[in-house]
Amino acid sequence: MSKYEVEALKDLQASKNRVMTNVVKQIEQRAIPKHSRRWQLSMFTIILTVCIGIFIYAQINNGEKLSANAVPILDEKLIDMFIQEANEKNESQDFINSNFQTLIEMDAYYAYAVSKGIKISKAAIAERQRTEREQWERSYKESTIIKDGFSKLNLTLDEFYEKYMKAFAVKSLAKSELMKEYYQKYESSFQIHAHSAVKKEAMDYFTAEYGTQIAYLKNKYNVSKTILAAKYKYGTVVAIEEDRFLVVTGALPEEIGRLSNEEIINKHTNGVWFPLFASQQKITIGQNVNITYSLQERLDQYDFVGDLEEIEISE
Amino acid sequence: MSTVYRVEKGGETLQVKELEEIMELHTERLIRLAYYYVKDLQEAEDIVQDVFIKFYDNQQKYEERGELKAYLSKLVINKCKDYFRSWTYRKIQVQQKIFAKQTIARRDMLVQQDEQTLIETAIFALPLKQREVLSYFYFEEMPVAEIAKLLSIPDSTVKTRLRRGRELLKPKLQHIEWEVLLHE
Repeated sequence: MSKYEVEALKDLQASKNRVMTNVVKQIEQRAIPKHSRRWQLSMFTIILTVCIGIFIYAQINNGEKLSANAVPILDEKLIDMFIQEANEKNESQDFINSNFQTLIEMDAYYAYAVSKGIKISKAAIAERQRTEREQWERSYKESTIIKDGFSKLNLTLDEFYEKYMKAFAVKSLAKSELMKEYYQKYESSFQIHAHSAVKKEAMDYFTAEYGTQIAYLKNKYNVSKTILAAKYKYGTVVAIEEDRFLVVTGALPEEIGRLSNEEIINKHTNGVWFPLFASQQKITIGQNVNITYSLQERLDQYDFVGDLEEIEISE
Repeated sequence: MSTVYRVEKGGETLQVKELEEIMELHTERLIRLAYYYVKDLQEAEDIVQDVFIKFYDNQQKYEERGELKAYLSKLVINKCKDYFRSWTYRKIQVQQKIFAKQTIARRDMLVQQDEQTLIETAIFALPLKQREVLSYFYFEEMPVAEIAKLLSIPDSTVKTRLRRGRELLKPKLQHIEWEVLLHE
């Protein structure tokens, strides 16, 4: 029988080159010594401990509420419920970290939207609450896990909704409003970029305002940042558009401007669009960059959109 | 420019230059292997990339007991299976649904599917257990004993999975004269 070849695997030369380049670049990058941050970490730990102490003291002495707004944020009961459920299902620590992170992010969207003076109409809130309520009712009917969860918490669906999810609906609406605002600035932004840009802005604000409380909760639930599997991309910046830049491994300087983005991507059979906001250094066309990222979404056969964790610009 | 880096862990060390030689020899085959599992070239490249970095970092664990080829293959297979179990994979699945509207579907749905494409699609739609042995057997032309060794399962299990895989393929490929199915 003649050897049968899978279409996508017929010519792997370009893939091989990409893998080899990325591996070598990654190892070289790690070999560059980094400044020790041990003393900074010690200082941070001391500050953190003091802050947690002050926070606990404030709690015991009926200190100020976390928020004067009607919608509760950093709600320990809600987080307790999610973490407890995850623990009972023996979910991984990554899963717990990710759930915790999502709850904090939802609070951040709400607090950030309020700080920006974004107005949300009562009608819009009522409509969002109605649709979310319907979804919960459907899930309640269909899922024994949710029913069991409620009975363990000693809550009816109505009580659960009133206590927790009603506020969640407002937070998700706040996020939608922030996304709308972002799309007004960058009309053709990819959703993965718009989402991560809005998330970063909201989290920056929220961390600055509620850093101590967040640290207390992280400590209480023993959560850390979710580490997704890292991907690496070494290549040349061949285009900058709106809120993103395109990196293609193997692209030649003389091709930039002479060939279209699509032609360069197809010629070198790769290309990833990364968000500009995530780089603190100025990105310019023709730079060689080494990027660490974790999420990607396919646009076309060789064309992807990715987030950005770290970027190193080569000299 | 050939800067040489060494791993600062005890025992035998591997230089980047040597790693490049190893990658030169094994990368394409390992990408193919990963593809049979994850069915996505970009994802397969990422997995192989991670495996080489892991191999470089943990080389002291590798004793020259077995063939390097088999050792790297095993690392890739394990990494692929970890990927299916990972939170990342689940998150990407969810994300793909969320971002589905954003994705530009430029794939030409009217592209005529030839027989080869149909066979390929049918094999890649099989459950993992059948897909991996069929891929090794037909795409890589590996003998049963070698597949059994690689997957750490008995020969008889490989044969059973091959047979079951062919059975699952038959109804999907009933209008195609694929010799593999004709001679069964």
